[in-house]
Amino acid sequence: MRPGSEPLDPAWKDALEQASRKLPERDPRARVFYECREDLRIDLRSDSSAIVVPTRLRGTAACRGGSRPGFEFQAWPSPADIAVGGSDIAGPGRAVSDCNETPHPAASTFDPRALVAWLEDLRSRADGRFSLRWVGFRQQIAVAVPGGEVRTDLRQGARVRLELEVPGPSGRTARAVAERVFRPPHTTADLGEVVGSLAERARARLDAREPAPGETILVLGPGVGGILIHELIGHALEADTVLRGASALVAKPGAVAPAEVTVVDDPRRGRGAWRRDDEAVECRATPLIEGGRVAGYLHDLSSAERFRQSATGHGRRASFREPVRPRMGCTFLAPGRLTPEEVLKGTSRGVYIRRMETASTDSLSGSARFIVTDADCIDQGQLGHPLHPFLLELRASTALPSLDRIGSDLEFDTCVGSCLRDGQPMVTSVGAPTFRIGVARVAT
Amino acid sequence: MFDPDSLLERLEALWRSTRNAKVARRVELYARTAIRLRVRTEGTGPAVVERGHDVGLAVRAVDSSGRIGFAAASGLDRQAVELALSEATTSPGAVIDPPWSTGGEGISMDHDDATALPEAEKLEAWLAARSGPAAWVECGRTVEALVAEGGLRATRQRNRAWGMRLLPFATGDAIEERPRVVAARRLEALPGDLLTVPIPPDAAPLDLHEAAGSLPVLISPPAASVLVRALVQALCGAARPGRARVGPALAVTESPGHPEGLSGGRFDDAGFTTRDKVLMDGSFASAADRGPGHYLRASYRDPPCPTFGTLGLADGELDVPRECVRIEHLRIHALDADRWLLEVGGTVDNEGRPVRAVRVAFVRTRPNELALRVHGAVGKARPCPNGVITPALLLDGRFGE
Repeated sequence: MRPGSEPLDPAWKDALEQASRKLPERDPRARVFYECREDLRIDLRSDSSAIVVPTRLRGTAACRGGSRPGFEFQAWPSPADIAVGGSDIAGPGRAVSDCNETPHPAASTFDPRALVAWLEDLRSRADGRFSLRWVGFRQQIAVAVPGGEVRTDLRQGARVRLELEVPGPSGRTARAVAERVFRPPHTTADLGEVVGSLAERARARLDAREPAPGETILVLGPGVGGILIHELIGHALEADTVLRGASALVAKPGAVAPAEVTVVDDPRRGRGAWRRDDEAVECRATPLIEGGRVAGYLHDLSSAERFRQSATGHGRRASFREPVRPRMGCTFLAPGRLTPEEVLKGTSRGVYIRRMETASTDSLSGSARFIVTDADCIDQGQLGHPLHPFLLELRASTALPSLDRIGSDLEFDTCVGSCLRDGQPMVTSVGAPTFRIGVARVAT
Repeated sequence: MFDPDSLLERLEALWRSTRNAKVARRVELYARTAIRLRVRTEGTGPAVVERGHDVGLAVRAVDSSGRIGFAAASGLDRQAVELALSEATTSPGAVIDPPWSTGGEGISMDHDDATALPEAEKLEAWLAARSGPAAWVECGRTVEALVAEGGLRATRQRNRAWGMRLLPFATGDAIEERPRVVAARRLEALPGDLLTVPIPPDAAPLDLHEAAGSLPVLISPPAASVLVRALVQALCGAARPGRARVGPALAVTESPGHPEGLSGGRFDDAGFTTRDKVLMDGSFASAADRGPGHYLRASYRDPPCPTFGTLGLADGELDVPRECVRIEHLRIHALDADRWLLEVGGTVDNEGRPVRAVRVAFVRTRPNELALRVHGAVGKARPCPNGVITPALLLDGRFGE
């Protein structure tokens, strides 16, 4: 699914156009933001029937910059509420309409019955304790900007998470997890192969051992290292973090990584892609690291104004209730020339990471911690036995300069998750080829 | 903004309108409205003022073939109800266990006073008195209503105040920031003192194991609240076989009606009457019943689920040790169900004053081992944003494996 557009309800289009003509032209950050959103979550476990949670919401936020910046939000507005102009709407105490003139669209994007049937078929193929979670969303936005213009965007995406736990000897169990971005027409057969490989991996993990604590060399499997890039580089180059002096990555001049390292954020690709951000700015691929040096920041309108730079189209909000922040869309490490085997070869001892999740990130110190849930030891350039889950610590100042081998096998979204920043969850994508880092630490 | 009476009136009218719908045999309607005012500062630039109004409803319905569904939508009119009802009955899934469970007859009311929200300038002044690199403070009020078969009518009104500031912690050769959130039912009750943790200047940070080897470990209320909730979830879950032993300071009661509690009240979010329940008695943890009286909704967009609500501990009877390691930051990384890595940081205190930073460290432990080491409570129990009301807790010196 790609970002795009669809016709806006005519009543809302008129109302937003009226509002945009009343927005003060002297305030370049004045906006009226409108969203209409549909979400569906389905949970299915081995021992229960499906839990299906569909939600619909609509809301607006009138935003202003200047010497008294802020915004006023309102759930379930009617078009008449916003046509009066951004600065007057939505304060606390406003009455709720008796009957909204433009109800939620009646038709759903999703077909829950078909999805449940599909997931149940998938579950029937697995032995052991199997659970699935399917999550999908569709968000139409429209933003009134000063001067009578209304710009729209459409974002949509879905993902599925599969988790399998298998029993082993002496009461032991082992788990394996896989996530896939869901793009219709997915069929059960597509994911049937994934279920098969999950079972194989879970059984292999019955022999997992404790990792050796302390310094280690990492090789990150295709796609997986995108999480590390997101945390150590992406968050450090969100412009509001840089503005308040809380980015260790920009504190020191010069190269932060070897010259082969290029990192880009492009919101137009990935699983929750957007074409315009929540301030109606056209987004573009933004180089973050080029030739091993910091090449740019991710901007919303506020940070761009203060840096006197162009906005990059990264201003996003989790909903109309929350403030706009510079956020990542799809952050990835550009591929190198080595085969994955060449990346692994020559590593006498280390850890090969198949799957991990972020535990914490701190841009001020440039550190990040990850829970590694699936990894193997590396012994003389070969993959060895699986490892129990462990905590991994990295510091950008030592880890990034040690990034010394980059594969050609760029993959996206092999580990799928949401990015939580300032309490705002956001659909994000990451990508990376197989690559190696020389300095990391297994926490004890 | 609705008051409880007008919200209930509106919801009852909407509920009556569903009686004509042939798609559902039984229907429960839940509505939540909220107003919020937040003032935020980034350390540079002017303060940002955010305010607004949220409203939404949720439907739980049993269709003609006995299947149960849930759906939610923003809004509070017939269109929103009809849409949610339609979705709940075309996408049925068992949303809780037992699948249909709504409190009985009668009218329940649980209301805070409807005081006016403060002006933005007052919040700005509150924030300025506790200035930091990035912080916010907000006040709000939530009104909820529930209408279902059998005559159930319930309304709840809650005032709330929240504050956040990024606090610095030492990590060896660097400083890291961690968000500290405080919460209360009124701005005046918001514990602003917890938004300040002075880092002792000059001296290099100490290693935790070095410091905790010889000194008692005192876990401050915000950090203790994280520990208490995680231990309750780990040791009081119904699936856990047997009764786990706990230290003498772990006397934890689930207190839905606690006057300082941030969630729940006299009835749960499915309308069932709540009552206090002892989860840990200072000797053992009890496996908790997660049935009626324990259904909470994270928001109107989420179905009611069995949840541990407000967890209360009594005020401590011990004095602050003359010298101790004070844990101000505590985070639990669950490697699996029975293996934790604690991320902790704080200070060495002498006569109640921090004299040395203790760098953030990781401690490997298991829930049942850690629970046994909680042997004392110090000072007044403070309400924390995760719903735990706890004093500072004392651990014995053996911290982790």
